[in-house]
Amino acid sequence: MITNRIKTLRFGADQMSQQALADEVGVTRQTINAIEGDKYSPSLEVAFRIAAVFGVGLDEVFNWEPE
Amino acid sequence: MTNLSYQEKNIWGSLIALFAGACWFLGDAIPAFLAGTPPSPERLAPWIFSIFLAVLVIELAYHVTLSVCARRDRRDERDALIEAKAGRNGYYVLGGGLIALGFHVGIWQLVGADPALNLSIAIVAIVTLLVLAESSHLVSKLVYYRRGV
Repeated sequence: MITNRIKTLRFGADQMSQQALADEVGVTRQTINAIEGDKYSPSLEVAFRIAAVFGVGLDEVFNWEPE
Repeated sequence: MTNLSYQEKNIWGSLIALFAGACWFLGDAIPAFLAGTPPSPERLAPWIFSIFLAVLVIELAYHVTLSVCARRDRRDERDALIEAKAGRNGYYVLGGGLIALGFHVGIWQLVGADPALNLSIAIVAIVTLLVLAESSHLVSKLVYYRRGV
């Protein structure tokens, strides 16, 4: 299962909104919401884009746990 | 309706228009079959075409109104994935239904049923099948948007 820390990182980045992150990444707000809620695993490209917005590595945003 | 995304509002519009058209057609066609007075294929064709046109016009009007009134979201990779998975579900229903229908028509041919009645039933069955396939496509999309994909 893939989990993520996007919500924490958003609040750490001056309480960035989902819409602001979505605009930076180039997806819809609903997609950011689905990723945060572990309802959707993004493509590698979108995952890298999200990490780049926060200026951190991919492994600091996403975590994979074997089921 | 307020917490629905643009895509979900679009899907609900299509689903309601589809069900309205299906109820309009099947609500008249099925009682006629049950009463033993099935409509001829010549009568069925313009009937289906006029309902199809009505549904198309209603859907177009709804989608145009929605795109003017609601904030339009761009489509992204999640929308494309949901469309692909829901489309696959719709094709499963269509494919399975066509195989079952072909099997039934084959049985009718074997028992030598009235060919005109056979064609009328086949037309109604195909319309029902198309409605079911499109419904499962649209409902799948709604489920994927709500529960995740």
